[in-house]
Amino acid sequence: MLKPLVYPTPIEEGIEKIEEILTHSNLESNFSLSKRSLALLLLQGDFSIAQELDKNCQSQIETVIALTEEKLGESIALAPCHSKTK
Amino acid sequence: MDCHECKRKCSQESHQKRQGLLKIFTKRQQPMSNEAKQLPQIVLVGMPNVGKSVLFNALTGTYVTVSNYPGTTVEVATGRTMIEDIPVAVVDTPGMYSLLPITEEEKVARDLLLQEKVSLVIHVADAKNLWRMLPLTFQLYETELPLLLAINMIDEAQRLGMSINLEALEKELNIPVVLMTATKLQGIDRLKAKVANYVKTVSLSHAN
Repeated sequence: MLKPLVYPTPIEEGIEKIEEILTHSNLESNFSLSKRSLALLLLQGDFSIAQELDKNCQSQIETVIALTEEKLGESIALAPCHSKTK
Repeated sequence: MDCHECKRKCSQESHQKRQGLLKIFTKRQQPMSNEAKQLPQIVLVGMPNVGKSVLFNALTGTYVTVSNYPGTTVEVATGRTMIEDIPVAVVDTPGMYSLLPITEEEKVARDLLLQEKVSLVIHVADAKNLWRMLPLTFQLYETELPLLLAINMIDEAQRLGMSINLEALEKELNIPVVLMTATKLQGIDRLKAKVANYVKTVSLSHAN
């Protein structure tokens, strides 16, 4: 069993919020990646995955991205630099 | 005889050469067979120039199919090999730096992981620049796809005075790690032995 990576709190909160948004879509069934991994890609602004979602979900995710970056005070793209295994 | 495009007069010999080349290119553009799609799929991913294609050739030999990934001009090579008497398909992907694609090649590699039924992802990494390779390992790790880290070019790293503590790395990452030099076929048997564990599981699940 793989140990999940742990990101800084704002990133983890963002992932959690996007995972919640994804439960109301069928995105996970279209892809072979885990929901957490899809949420992390969406949090990093992956357009090709986001376009599979409806406008409402896209808008909610954009809000989560903006909030997360505001809390972090830096780009989400730098998140892996601060990750560690549990 | 006129060539079909340039309309130059070419000799019979040159025409025969062209026909020979045409056969090769026609063969290269065949799509992945349905038979290959039914087999457990092992996907080789990693940054450019880490030795994915050398490993691919070491695993599959010369009997490969190269086809454009649907909707793109990016080529993906697929070959067959036997792992402990179980036939598997090995897929060689274009180099990628991250799961967040920038180039079309990266997008193809990423989409392949996203959309295909993958039995095992082998992340091929350059031993000399392991610190630059590991962020992709972590991204792949996050996908929860079965993952194996193949650290290639270990001979070059050793020549530079570098050494890798395999046990510590395996323990820290909690995934199987293989040290290898694909060009010298060193470590290929160890890799196959570790891959066999995954393939047997997939093969059993297919049988059930």
